[in-house]
Amino acid sequence: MGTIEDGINGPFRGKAGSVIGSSWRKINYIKGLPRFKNRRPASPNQLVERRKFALLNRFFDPISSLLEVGFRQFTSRATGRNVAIRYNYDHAFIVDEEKVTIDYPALQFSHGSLFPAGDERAWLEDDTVYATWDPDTYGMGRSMDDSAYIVLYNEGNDVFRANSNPMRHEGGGQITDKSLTQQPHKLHLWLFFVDRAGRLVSKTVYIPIENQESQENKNRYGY
Amino acid sequence: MDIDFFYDRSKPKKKEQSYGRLAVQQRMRLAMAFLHPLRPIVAGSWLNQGQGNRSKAFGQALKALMQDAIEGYYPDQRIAADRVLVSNGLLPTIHAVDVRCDNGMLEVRFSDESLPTASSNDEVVLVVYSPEIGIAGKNTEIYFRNDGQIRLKLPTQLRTQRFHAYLFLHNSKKKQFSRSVYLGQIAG
Repeated sequence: MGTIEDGINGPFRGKAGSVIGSSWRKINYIKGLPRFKNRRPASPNQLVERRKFALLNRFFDPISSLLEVGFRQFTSRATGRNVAIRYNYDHAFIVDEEKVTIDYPALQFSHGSLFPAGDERAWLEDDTVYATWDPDTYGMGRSMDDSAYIVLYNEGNDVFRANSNPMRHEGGGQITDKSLTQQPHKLHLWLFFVDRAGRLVSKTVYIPIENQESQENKNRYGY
Repeated sequence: MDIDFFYDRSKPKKKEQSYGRLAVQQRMRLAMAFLHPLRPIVAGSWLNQGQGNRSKAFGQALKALMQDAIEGYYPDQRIAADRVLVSNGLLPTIHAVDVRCDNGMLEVRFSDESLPTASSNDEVVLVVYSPEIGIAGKNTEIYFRNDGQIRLKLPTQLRTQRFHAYLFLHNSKKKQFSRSVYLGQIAG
Protein backbone atom coordinates (compact mmCIF):
# COMPACT_ATOMS: atom_id res chain seq x y z
CA MET A 1 0.00 0.00 0.00
CA GLY A 2 1.29 3.45 -0.85
CA THR A 3 0.06 7.03 -1.01
CA ILE A 4 -0.67 8.58 -4.40
CA GLU A 5 -0.62 12.23 -5.40
CA ASP A 6 -3.57 13.82 -7.19
CA GLY A 7 -3.71 13.33 -10.95
CA ILE A 8 -5.38 15.62 -13.53
CA ASN A 9 -8.79 14.21 -12.56
CA GLY A 10 -8.15 14.42 -8.80
CA PRO A 11 -7.23 11.44 -6.65
CA PHE A 12 -7.74 7.94 -8.03
CA ARG A 13 -10.70 6.17 -6.44
CA GLY A 14 -12.32 2.81 -6.94
CA LYS A 15 -11.04 -0.35 -8.54
CA ALA A 16 -9.03 -0.68 -11.75
CA GLY A 17 -7.70 -4.14 -12.51
CA SER A 18 -5.75 -5.36 -9.51
CA VAL A 19 -5.48 -2.01 -7.71
CA ILE A 20 -7.92 -0.15 -5.48
CA GLY A 21 -7.81 3.59 -4.79
CA SER A 22 -9.26 5.07 -1.62
CA SER A 23 -8.78 7.95 0.76
CA TRP A 24 -8.82 8.41 4.53
CA ARG A 25 -8.32 11.69 6.43
CA LYS A 26 -7.33 13.43 3.16
CA ILE A 27 -4.61 10.84 2.44
CA ASN A 28 -5.08 9.13 -0.92
CA TYR A 29 -4.12 5.47 -0.84
CA ILE A 30 -3.58 2.92 -3.55
CA LYS A 31 -3.70 -0.76 -2.58
CA GLY A 32 -2.88 -3.84 -4.60
CA LEU A 33 -5.00 -6.97 -4.36
CA PRO A 34 -3.19 -9.80 -2.57
CA ARG A 35 -1.43 -12.11 -5.04
CA PHE A 36 -0.06 -14.77 -2.71
CA LYS A 37 0.09 -15.48 0.99
CA ASN A 38 3.44 -15.39 2.72
CA ARG A 39 3.85 -18.83 4.35
CA ARG A 40 7.37 -18.29 5.61
CA PRO A 41 7.48 -18.56 9.44
CA ALA A 42 8.15 -15.30 11.26
CA SER A 43 11.63 -14.74 12.68
CA PRO A 44 12.03 -14.34 16.49
CA ASN A 45 12.55 -10.59 16.02
CA GLN A 46 9.41 -10.32 13.93
CA LEU A 47 7.46 -12.16 16.62
CA VAL A 48 8.72 -9.75 19.28
CA GLU A 49 7.71 -6.75 17.17
CA ARG A 50 4.26 -8.24 16.51
CA ARG A 51 3.81 -8.94 20.22
CA LYS A 52 4.79 -5.37 21.10
CA PHE A 53 2.39 -3.95 18.56
CA ALA A 54 -0.49 -6.16 19.71
CA LEU A 55 0.18 -5.39 23.36
CA LEU A 56 0.16 -1.63 22.90
CA ASN A 57 -2.79 -1.69 20.51
CA ARG A 58 -4.89 -3.71 22.97
CA PHE A 59 -3.82 -1.54 25.89
CA PHE A 60 -4.81 1.71 24.15
CA ASP A 61 -8.12 0.37 22.80
CA PRO A 62 -10.36 1.35 25.78
CA ILE A 63 -8.90 4.86 26.05
CA SER A 64 -8.88 5.88 22.39
CA SER A 65 -11.16 8.88 23.07
CA LEU A 66 -8.74 10.10 25.75
CA LEU A 67 -5.84 9.76 23.30
CA GLU A 68 -7.74 11.94 20.82
CA VAL A 69 -7.57 14.69 23.47
CA GLY A 70 -3.98 14.06 24.45
CA PHE A 71 -2.60 13.96 20.90
CA ARG A 72 -5.12 16.29 19.28
CA GLN A 73 -2.39 18.46 17.82
CA PHE A 74 -1.23 15.54 15.65
CA THR A 75 -4.53 13.96 14.60
CA SER A 76 -5.23 15.69 11.30
CA ARG A 77 -3.88 12.69 9.37
CA ALA A 78 -3.97 9.96 12.02
CA THR A 79 -6.12 8.88 14.94
CA GLY A 80 -5.08 9.63 18.51
CA ARG A 81 -4.37 5.94 18.99
CA ASN A 82 -2.12 5.84 15.89
CA VAL A 83 -0.06 8.74 17.23
CA ALA A 84 0.05 7.26 20.74
CA ILE A 85 1.38 3.96 19.41
CA ARG A 86 3.97 5.73 17.26
CA TYR A 87 5.04 7.91 20.18
CA ASN A 88 5.24 5.13 22.76
CA TYR A 89 6.47 2.24 20.62
CA ASP A 90 10.20 2.92 21.03
CA HIS A 91 10.34 3.32 24.80
CA ALA A 92 7.26 1.76 26.42
CA PHE A 93 8.36 -1.88 26.64
CA ILE A 94 10.51 -4.06 28.83
CA VAL A 95 11.89 -6.80 26.60
CA ASP A 96 13.43 -9.80 28.31
CA GLU A 97 14.53 -12.07 25.44
CA GLU A 98 11.16 -13.11 24.01
CA LYS A 99 9.01 -11.88 26.92
CA VAL A 100 7.54 -8.45 26.28
CA THR A 101 5.75 -6.37 28.94
CA ILE A 102 4.58 -2.78 29.03
CA ASP A 103 6.71 -0.31 30.98
CA TYR A 104 3.77 1.55 32.56
CA PRO A 105 5.70 4.51 34.05
CA ALA A 106 7.16 5.27 30.61
CA LEU A 107 3.79 5.54 28.84
CA GLN A 108 2.65 8.93 27.54
CA PHE A 109 -1.02 9.69 26.82
CA SER A 110 -0.41 13.26 25.66
CA HIS A 111 2.21 15.57 24.22
CA GLY A 112 2.20 19.34 24.23
CA SER A 113 3.61 22.61 25.46
CA LEU A 114 1.56 23.09 28.65
CA PHE A 115 3.66 22.56 31.78
CA PRO A 116 2.81 19.68 34.13
CA ALA A 117 1.96 20.66 37.71
CA GLY A 118 4.80 19.13 39.73
CA ASP A 119 4.76 17.68 43.26
CA GLU A 120 2.27 15.00 42.21
CA ARG A 121 1.21 12.44 44.84
CA ALA A 122 -1.35 9.65 44.90
CA TRP A 123 -2.59 7.27 47.57
CA LEU A 124 -5.31 4.69 48.09
CA GLU A 125 -8.00 4.84 50.80
CA ASP A 126 -10.63 2.06 50.81
CA ASP A 127 -12.22 2.20 47.35
CA THR A 128 -10.86 5.64 46.37
CA VAL A 129 -7.60 6.74 44.83
CA TYR A 130 -6.69 10.34 45.68
CA ALA A 131 -4.26 12.38 43.58
CA THR A 132 -2.86 15.80 44.41
CA TRP A 133 -0.60 18.24 42.59
CA ASP A 134 0.86 21.73 42.93
CA PRO A 135 -1.98 24.15 42.01
CA ASP A 136 0.22 27.22 41.43
CA THR A 137 0.70 28.58 37.91
CA TYR A 138 4.13 30.25 38.37
CA GLY A 139 3.40 32.94 35.80
CA MET A 140 3.57 30.98 32.57
CA GLY A 141 2.77 27.74 30.76
CA ARG A 142 -0.14 26.92 33.07
CA SER A 143 -3.61 28.34 33.79
CA MET A 144 -5.89 28.03 36.80
CA ASP A 145 -8.68 26.64 34.62
CA ASP A 146 -6.70 23.84 32.94
CA SER A 147 -8.55 20.54 33.25
CA ALA A 148 -6.76 17.61 34.84
CA TYR A 149 -7.16 14.20 33.21
CA ILE A 150 -6.50 11.47 35.76
CA VAL A 151 -6.30 7.95 34.37
CA LEU A 152 -6.26 4.92 36.65
CA TYR A 153 -5.44 1.44 35.40
CA ASN A 154 -5.89 -1.71 37.42
CA GLU A 155 -3.45 -4.26 36.06
CA GLY A 156 -5.20 -6.97 38.10
CA ASN A 157 -8.50 -6.87 36.22
CA ASP A 158 -7.35 -4.87 33.15
CA VAL A 159 -9.80 -2.00 33.75
CA PHE A 160 -9.36 1.74 33.20
CA ARG A 161 -11.04 4.44 35.24
CA ALA A 162 -10.98 8.18 34.50
CA ASN A 163 -12.26 11.07 36.61
CA SER A 164 -14.51 14.07 36.00
CA ASN A 165 -11.64 16.45 35.15
CA PRO A 166 -11.06 18.76 38.12
CA MET A 167 -9.41 22.15 37.48
CA ARG A 168 -5.71 22.72 38.03
CA HIS A 169 -6.38 25.24 40.85
CA GLU A 170 -8.27 22.60 42.83
CA GLY A 171 -4.94 20.88 43.38
CA GLY A 172 -6.35 17.36 43.47
CA GLY A 173 -8.91 14.82 42.33
CA GLN A 174 -10.13 11.37 43.14
CA ILE A 175 -11.36 8.21 41.49
CA THR A 176 -13.74 5.87 43.29
CA ASP A 177 -14.22 2.29 42.22
CA LYS A 178 -15.70 -0.59 44.24
CA SER A 179 -13.26 -3.07 42.69
CA LEU A 180 -10.34 -1.29 44.40
CA THR A 181 -11.30 -2.94 47.69
CA GLN A 182 -10.70 -6.35 46.13
CA GLN A 183 -7.22 -7.81 46.42
CA PRO A 184 -4.86 -8.40 44.82
CA HIS A 185 -4.54 -5.44 42.51
CA LYS A 186 -1.81 -3.38 40.96
CA LEU A 187 -2.70 0.20 40.16
CA HIS A 188 -1.11 2.71 37.83
CA LEU A 189 -2.03 6.38 37.70
CA TRP A 190 -1.27 8.99 35.07
CA LEU A 191 -2.04 12.70 35.00
CA PHE A 192 -2.02 15.32 32.27
CA PHE A 193 -3.57 18.76 31.80
CA VAL A 194 -5.59 20.28 28.96
CA ASP A 195 -6.32 24.01 28.61
CA ARG A 196 -9.87 25.37 28.57
CA ALA A 197 -10.03 25.55 24.77
CA GLY A 198 -8.85 21.94 24.51
CA ARG A 199 -5.95 22.96 22.27
CA LEU A 200 -2.93 22.89 24.55
CA VAL A 201 -1.99 19.80 26.53
CA SER A 202 0.84 18.92 28.89
CA LYS A 203 3.03 15.86 28.90
CA THR A 204 1.79 12.91 30.95
CA VAL A 205 3.17 12.32 34.43
CA TYR A 206 3.10 8.84 35.98
CA ILE A 207 2.26 9.00 39.70
CA PRO A 208 3.23 5.99 41.82
CA ILE A 209 0.48 5.13 44.32
CA GLU A 210 2.02 5.23 47.77
CA ASN A 211 0.19 2.70 49.90
CA GLN A 212 -1.07 -0.09 47.68
CA GLU A 213 1.34 -2.62 49.17
CA SER A 214 -0.67 -5.30 51.00
CA GLN A 215 0.49 -8.83 51.78
CA GLU A 216 -1.74 -10.21 49.06
CA ASN A 217 -0.33 -7.76 46.52
CA LYS A 218 3.20 -8.55 47.64
CA ASN A 219 2.62 -12.26 47.06
CA ARG A 220 1.08 -11.70 43.64
CA TYR A 221 3.18 -8.85 42.21
CA GLY A 222 6.31 -9.10 44.37
CA TYR A 223 6.40 -5.59 45.79
CA MET B 1 14.51 16.95 25.04
CA ASP B 2 12.16 14.88 22.95
CA ILE B 3 11.12 17.57 20.49
CA ASP B 4 12.91 15.62 17.76
CA PHE B 5 10.20 13.00 17.77
CA PHE B 6 7.60 14.79 15.66
CA TYR B 7 10.07 16.06 13.08
CA ASP B 8 10.53 14.45 9.69
CA ARG B 9 8.70 11.22 10.45
CA SER B 10 6.76 11.10 7.21
CA LYS B 11 9.43 10.28 4.64
CA PRO B 12 12.64 8.37 5.22
CA LYS B 13 15.62 10.14 3.66
CA LYS B 14 17.13 8.14 0.82
CA LYS B 15 20.02 10.39 -0.16
CA GLU B 16 22.85 11.08 2.21
CA GLN B 17 22.51 14.68 3.35
CA SER B 18 25.33 17.18 3.08
CA TYR B 19 27.30 18.23 6.17
CA GLY B 20 26.05 21.81 5.92
CA ARG B 21 22.41 20.80 5.73
CA LEU B 22 22.68 18.43 8.70
CA ALA B 23 24.43 21.14 10.72
CA VAL B 24 21.70 23.69 9.97
CA GLN B 25 18.96 21.16 10.77
CA GLN B 26 20.58 20.35 14.11
CA ARG B 27 20.94 24.07 14.90
CA MET B 28 17.27 24.61 14.12
CA ARG B 29 16.20 21.70 16.33
CA LEU B 30 18.36 22.80 19.25
CA ALA B 31 17.14 26.38 18.98
CA MET B 32 13.50 25.35 18.72
CA ALA B 33 13.75 22.91 21.64
CA PHE B 34 15.34 25.59 23.81
CA LEU B 35 13.05 28.47 22.96
CA HIS B 36 9.69 26.73 22.53
CA PRO B 37 8.79 26.47 26.26
CA LEU B 38 9.55 30.20 26.57
CA ARG B 39 7.23 31.11 23.70
CA PRO B 40 4.63 32.94 25.87
CA ILE B 41 7.35 35.34 27.06
CA VAL B 42 9.44 35.60 23.91
CA ALA B 43 6.47 36.28 21.65
CA GLY B 44 5.72 39.36 23.77
CA SER B 45 9.22 40.58 24.53
CA TRP B 46 10.38 40.46 20.89
CA LEU B 47 7.18 42.06 19.59
CA ASN B 48 8.92 45.20 18.35
CA GLN B 49 11.29 43.12 16.20
CA GLY B 50 8.31 41.09 14.94
CA GLN B 51 6.43 44.20 13.72
CA GLY B 52 3.64 43.59 16.20
CA ASN B 53 3.10 39.97 15.13
CA ARG B 54 3.68 37.39 17.90
CA SER B 55 4.57 34.63 15.48
CA LYS B 56 7.10 36.82 13.66
CA ALA B 57 8.47 37.93 17.03
CA PHE B 58 9.19 34.33 17.98
CA GLY B 59 10.82 33.81 14.58
CA GLN B 60 13.13 36.78 15.17
CA ALA B 61 14.11 35.45 18.60
CA LEU B 62 14.81 32.05 17.05
CA LYS B 63 16.94 33.63 14.34
CA ALA B 64 18.98 35.59 16.90
CA LEU B 65 19.50 32.45 18.98
CA MET B 66 20.70 30.47 15.96
CA GLN B 67 23.09 33.24 14.93
CA ASP B 68 24.57 34.17 18.29
CA ALA B 69 23.99 31.49 20.90
CA ILE B 70 25.01 28.21 19.31
CA GLU B 71 28.56 27.03 19.75
CA GLY B 72 30.56 24.02 18.55
CA TYR B 73 30.52 22.16 15.27
CA TYR B 74 28.15 19.50 13.99
CA PRO B 75 27.44 16.95 15.48
CA ASP B 76 28.51 18.55 18.82
CA GLN B 77 26.64 21.83 18.62
CA ARG B 78 25.11 23.15 21.83
CA ILE B 79 23.30 26.21 23.14
CA ALA B 80 25.24 28.80 25.13
CA ALA B 81 22.48 29.87 27.51
CA ASP B 82 24.39 33.01 28.54
CA ARG B 83 24.12 34.36 25.00
CA VAL B 84 20.39 33.70 24.60
CA LEU B 85 18.24 36.83 24.52
CA VAL B 86 14.89 36.21 26.19
CA SER B 87 13.95 39.79 25.38
CA ASN B 88 15.42 42.52 23.22
CA GLY B 89 14.88 46.26 23.00
CA LEU B 90 16.19 49.73 23.74
CA LEU B 91 14.94 50.21 27.30
CA PRO B 92 17.92 50.66 29.68
CA THR B 93 18.73 47.48 31.52
CA ILE B 94 19.69 46.91 35.17
CA HIS B 95 22.69 45.24 36.80
CA ALA B 96 22.22 42.26 39.09
CA VAL B 97 24.20 42.72 42.29
CA ASP B 98 23.27 39.62 44.25
CA VAL B 99 21.42 36.38 43.41
CA ARG B 100 20.22 34.14 46.22
CA CYS B 101 18.24 30.91 46.10
CA ASP B 102 16.93 29.13 49.17
CA ASN B 103 13.73 27.51 50.43
CA GLY B 104 12.23 27.46 46.95
CA MET B 105 12.61 31.23 46.53
CA LEU B 106 14.92 33.09 44.18
CA GLU B 107 15.84 36.62 45.17
CA VAL B 108 17.77 39.05 42.97
CA ARG B 109 19.04 42.45 44.09
CA PHE B 110 19.83 44.91 41.34
CA SER B 111 21.20 48.40 40.85
CA ASP B 112 20.15 50.96 38.28
CA GLU B 113 21.84 53.92 36.65
CA SER B 114 19.47 56.85 36.23
CA LEU B 115 19.14 57.39 32.49
CA PRO B 116 16.67 59.73 30.77
CA THR B 117 14.98 56.88 28.88
CA ALA B 118 14.47 54.83 32.06
CA SER B 119 11.32 55.26 34.09
CA SER B 120 10.84 54.24 37.71
CA ASN B 121 7.56 52.61 36.62
CA ASP B 122 9.32 50.11 34.35
CA GLU B 123 8.40 46.61 35.47
CA VAL B 124 11.07 44.00 36.15
CA VAL B 125 10.56 40.39 35.00
CA LEU B 126 12.55 37.45 36.34
CA VAL B 127 12.43 34.23 34.33
CA VAL B 128 13.72 30.83 35.46
CA TYR B 129 14.06 28.00 32.99
CA SER B 130 15.40 24.48 32.77
CA PRO B 131 15.66 23.35 29.12
CA GLU B 132 16.43 19.77 30.22
CA ILE B 133 12.95 19.26 31.69
CA GLY B 134 11.24 21.97 29.64
CA ILE B 135 9.83 23.85 32.67
CA ALA B 136 9.89 27.62 33.15
CA GLY B 137 8.36 30.18 35.47
CA LYS B 138 8.31 33.92 36.04
CA ASN B 139 7.43 36.28 38.86
CA THR B 140 3.71 36.63 39.50
CA GLU B 141 3.97 39.77 41.65
CA ILE B 142 4.86 43.13 40.07
CA TYR B 143 8.24 44.69 40.82
CA PHE B 144 9.45 48.07 39.56
CA ARG B 145 12.82 49.40 38.49
CA ASN B 146 13.23 51.43 41.66
CA ASP B 147 12.40 48.51 44.00
CA GLY B 148 15.99 47.30 43.85
CA GLN B 149 15.02 43.65 44.30
CA ILE B 150 12.75 40.98 42.91
CA ARG B 151 11.57 37.68 44.39
CA LEU B 152 10.19 34.62 42.66
CA LYS B 153 8.69 31.38 43.96
CA LEU B 154 10.35 28.56 42.04
CA PRO B 155 8.18 26.01 40.22
CA THR B 156 8.21 22.69 42.09
CA GLN B 157 10.16 20.89 39.38
CA LEU B 158 13.01 23.43 39.55
CA ARG B 159 13.58 23.13 43.29
CA THR B 160 15.72 20.02 42.80
CA GLN B 161 17.21 21.00 39.47
CA ARG B 162 19.76 23.40 38.01
CA PHE B 163 18.13 26.17 36.00
CA HIS B 164 18.99 29.32 34.05
CA ALA B 165 17.75 32.73 35.19
CA TYR B 166 17.15 35.83 33.08
CA LEU B 167 16.09 39.35 34.00
CA PHE B 168 14.56 42.04 31.79
CA LEU B 169 12.31 45.09 31.98
CA HIS B 170 9.35 46.49 30.09
CA ASN B 171 7.43 49.72 30.38
CA SER B 172 3.99 49.85 31.95
CA LYS B 173 2.23 49.47 28.56
CA LYS B 174 4.42 46.49 27.58
CA LYS B 175 5.41 48.29 24.39
CA GLN B 176 9.11 48.78 25.12
CA PHE B 177 11.46 46.10 26.37
CA SER B 178 15.05 45.91 27.52
CA ARG B 179 17.71 43.43 26.48
CA SER B 180 17.66 40.48 28.88
CA VAL B 181 20.43 39.92 31.41
CA TYR B 182 21.66 36.38 32.07
CA LEU B 183 22.02 35.70 35.81
CA GLY B 184 23.73 32.33 35.48
CA GLN B 185 22.95 28.69 36.09
CA ILE B 186 21.60 28.28 39.60
CA ALA B 187 21.03 25.16 41.70
CA GLY B 188 17.49 24.93 43.03
